[in-house]
Amino acid sequence: MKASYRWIQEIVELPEGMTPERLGEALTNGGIPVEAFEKLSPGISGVVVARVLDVIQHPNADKLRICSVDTGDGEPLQIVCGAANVAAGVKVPCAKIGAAVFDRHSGEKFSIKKSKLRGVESHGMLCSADELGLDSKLLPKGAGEGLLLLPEDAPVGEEIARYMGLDDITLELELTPNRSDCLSMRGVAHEIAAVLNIPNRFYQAASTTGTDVGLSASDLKVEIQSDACQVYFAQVLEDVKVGPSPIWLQMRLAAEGIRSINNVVDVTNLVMLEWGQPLHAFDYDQVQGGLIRVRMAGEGEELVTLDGQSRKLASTMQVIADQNRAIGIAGVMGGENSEVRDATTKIVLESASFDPRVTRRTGKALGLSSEAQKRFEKGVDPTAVQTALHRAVDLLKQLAGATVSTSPVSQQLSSTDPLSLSIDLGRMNRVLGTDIAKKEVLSILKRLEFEAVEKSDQVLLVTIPARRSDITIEEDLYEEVARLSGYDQIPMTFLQGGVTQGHLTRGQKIRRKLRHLGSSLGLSEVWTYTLTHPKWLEEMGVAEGDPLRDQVALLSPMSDERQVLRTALLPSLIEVLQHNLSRKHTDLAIFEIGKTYHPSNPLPIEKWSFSLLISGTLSMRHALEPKKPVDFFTVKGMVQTILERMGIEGVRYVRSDKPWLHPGRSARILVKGSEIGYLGELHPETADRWEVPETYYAELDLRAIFEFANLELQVEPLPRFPASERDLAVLLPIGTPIGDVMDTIREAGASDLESVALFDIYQGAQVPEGKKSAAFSLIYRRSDRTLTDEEVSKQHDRIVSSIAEQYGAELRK
Amino acid sequence: MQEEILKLRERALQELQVLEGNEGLAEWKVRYLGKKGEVTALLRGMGALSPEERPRVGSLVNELREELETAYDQREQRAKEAARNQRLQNESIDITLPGRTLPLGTLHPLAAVIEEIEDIFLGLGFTVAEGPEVELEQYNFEMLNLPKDHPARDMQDTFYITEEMLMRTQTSPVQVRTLLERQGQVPVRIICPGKVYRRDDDDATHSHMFTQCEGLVVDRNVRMSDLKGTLYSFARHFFNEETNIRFRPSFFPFTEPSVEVDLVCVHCKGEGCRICKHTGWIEILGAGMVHPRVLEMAGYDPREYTGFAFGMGIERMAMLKFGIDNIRNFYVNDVRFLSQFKVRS
Repeated sequence: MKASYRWIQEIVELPEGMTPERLGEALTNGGIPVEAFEKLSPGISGVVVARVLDVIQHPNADKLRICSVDTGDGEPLQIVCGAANVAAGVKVPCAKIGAAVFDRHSGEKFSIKKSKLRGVESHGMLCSADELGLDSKLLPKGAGEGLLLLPEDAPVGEEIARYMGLDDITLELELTPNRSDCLSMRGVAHEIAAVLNIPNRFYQAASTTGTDVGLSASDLKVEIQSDACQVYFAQVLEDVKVGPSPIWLQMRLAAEGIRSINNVVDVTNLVMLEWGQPLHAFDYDQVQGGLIRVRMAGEGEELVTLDGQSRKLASTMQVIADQNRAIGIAGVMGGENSEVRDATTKIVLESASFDPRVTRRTGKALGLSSEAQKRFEKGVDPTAVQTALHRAVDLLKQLAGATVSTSPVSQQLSSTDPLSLSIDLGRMNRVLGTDIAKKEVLSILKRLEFEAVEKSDQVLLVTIPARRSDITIEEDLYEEVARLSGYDQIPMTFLQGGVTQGHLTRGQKIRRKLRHLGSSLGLSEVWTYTLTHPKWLEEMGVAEGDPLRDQVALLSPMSDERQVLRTALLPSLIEVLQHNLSRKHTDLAIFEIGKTYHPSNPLPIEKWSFSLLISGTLSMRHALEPKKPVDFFTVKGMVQTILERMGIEGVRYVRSDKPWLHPGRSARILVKGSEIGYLGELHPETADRWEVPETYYAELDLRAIFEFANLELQVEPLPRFPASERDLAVLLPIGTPIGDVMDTIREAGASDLESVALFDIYQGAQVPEGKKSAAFSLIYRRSDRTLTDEEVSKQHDRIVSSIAEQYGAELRK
Repeated sequence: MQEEILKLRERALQELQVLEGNEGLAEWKVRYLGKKGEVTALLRGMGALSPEERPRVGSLVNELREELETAYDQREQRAKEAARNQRLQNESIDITLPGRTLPLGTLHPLAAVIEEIEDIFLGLGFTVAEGPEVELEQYNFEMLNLPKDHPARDMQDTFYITEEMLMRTQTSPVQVRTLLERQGQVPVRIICPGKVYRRDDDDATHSHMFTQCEGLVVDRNVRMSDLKGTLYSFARHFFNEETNIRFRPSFFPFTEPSVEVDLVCVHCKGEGCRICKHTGWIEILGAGMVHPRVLEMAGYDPREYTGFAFGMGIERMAMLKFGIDNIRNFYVNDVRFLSQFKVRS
């Protein structure tokens, strides 16, 4: 809501020294933030109302005229003017020598000097709206072209800024959805009066004479046939002369951001701004059968609205109709068929209350949003419906010569008694943590113009005016009291009650640990978007029918790129890689702890995963040494480190067949037979498709980590007896997986085997064709005594025969 | 004989003098002090002396031996030192060359901020609650006192999945879920960090996905002043010990009274600058006393229990704390941005 400071000055008694900025601060502290202050014109000076006395053609220029202009200083000024609409007798703004105005083209401010135009002296400039710094979109159509023509009664010599109110400042009120009462100057007046504790003069400023009494019955009938209209008032006005509005009305509307159309429309807009009650005027002669009928639209019924659009209506929408057809969409927009035109002389003025939900849905469905609709959507004050009508009738009598010969007609379906709420001051102070006295509460309620009676010593009964429909429960009154006594009056205290132990859950701890582990491995954590495009899965080669293809989709996405919820993290990390590659950062090591989303009932399953992606080089690095590119074992080492840190043992790696991974350089990660993740090099073709270089990726399912993680620690005593170390060098068929051989060594039944480590693999010269040589270091130890050579040999031999049997391993001599 | 001794002494010492480094040192020792060396030869030659002279000359020779041995030891010591010094000098390197560095991983700034917030509230006895990002409309709106067609729903334009299911627009549904789970038990003290979604075009200040952290306390006698005290304590721990907060009235459908919480401007320290629009304050979060209807719908009698709730944008906290000016940075993951957070990891 925009509120003109000039208008505010008329409807409340602002104290001495008040400024728009100070008022804005007070409103902000009271709960209605004011963040912008706009000037109607950015500031001009030295421009006055002038009359053009005489116009003659410039001898040396076709388009220029030499004008004699009366600026009220006695001697007329000679001014050269190029505007097409300059003529003897018109009143226009005139910038005198030394005046500051705006350049029509650049918008820059400049000052007027005496000049010569094609040899003729000019002592000033006649001005257009642009030159006064006015936005011509807020002026009546045509007023922006050529000189700004002023009304005949404009006083010659008066400063234009004063005459037009150009120095007005508009406060932009940022209303929260509950404060629709301040979508009217009436509400603004109440709010300012309450916040500043000053007298409210709104009702004097916007007074009405009330209904004309003793009039004949109206020649209009009103029928409400829908329960989405609580009350409907209509008044027929005759002898209406449709024409331009006076300048004060044009400028008042401009200050509020509304363009002046004609006096009838402008009055309805002004009263809407004043009372928050939208009004609509119909051309009486187009209301067939002299009947206004409020009804729901027929399914598929059509109406051309005021904006010239043909609208197909639905039965959930409410219309204003006459005997035969719809003539407007209730609360949203009028119909073209009953529009008030320049020739119209008899009008029907409507003031009604339409159901907020129906209005809201209708507007949404039609894609319309008007100032009227905005107010109906939030609910108008039913007690102001009639007053607003009276006020508009008064103004139309004044400004359009309208007369009224018949009574208004009305239909009211329901009326509600004003709401009364109890406020228990003891409870209020307990909830707020304050100590606000009854006297202060009573004074605040008075400032709000809420009637209060004392029910008992600590309980007040408060009547809530209909204009404050946001106040429905006792706590709403606590807020009113608290905000007007000042939120800064609320002290700072600590929570009382029992001590509670703050702690993280096991899942939260594991995620935290993984996050720190990831970063300590040299990886940077990234956060990426949930919403993605299904094409990624296709590019990954995920088969149709694969569960990953089953994605949760948005009903109406904002873009194709963000239309479904991701089922895989890899594409998100690839996007990060692509972004950084495009900025020439080829070394990337990142991880994300993120969710994927999989359809289920009643809600999708949200699965946490840890994924990491590395590309380029990543190692301990020295300026003078060659960089070492990452490879399969870099990513596998990271995974091993992570799993080890999580206390997960018995991990096996078996070949994977994921289509987006290199079949020879990828693995599924198994713990106790279940897959907890996978790792490997991106398939070269996939990498090509995504235009990324050799890249390695791993993904771990956090549910599995959660299940298998063992973060408990039981310290083992240090060994008291020496170990026996034996090396084992064997020849193996070339394709034998060393990891399997090591598993076999561990499981061969050597009960005193403490550890086994690989220390060499070799194939080539001195190793027979089709074989490779592998060497392991085995450590045997007992905790209760020193092993004898024979004992170790026995176990060692068992291992040798075990791998000989299983893999055809031969001992190297 | 005496003269011979003196000559030998002079010769030996002079030879020792001119030796360089280790070279010839061993030979010198053999020549003079060895078993067949010249000093020994002197002793052997003593047979030619009279018995009276023998002891005197004997002691002179012994003196000479001692003197030469000492000289030798000193000389050898010097040679060793010289050799060591030489070695150290040879091994000297340019210590200003860069070291062999470990790759520096980083925490994402939003994760770092969330951890810090969690730690502050863990210290105040809160626990961390989580809930689904794909949420039922009922929890995201209805049970937070935002019935269908409520104008306040305009505040949060929503990604719907079905008519009843949506991407949560706030972390507040976790409040509802927690209260329903606790079944009337108190005290409830939780914070709920998590991702939320709104139909916003991505630009410098908007993101269709962003992160919030909700807080909720429900108990007997929870006061609005407790909310202020709690947030004050939070602000001083999270931002700095000198900062302050203020409350401004506001509106949220799920709290009554509602407040907007301002922090002393982090740029001008309250002096007034362009960032804080010359007010000295910047808005950091919304809060309020839990709306009685929200308590009631979750099974808590609002006449017996009260509570407060607050919700903050993690991106905003991070932007204020680290001076970040574009929200997109958080989700683009440019390494030049991420690597700046090494001191927070």
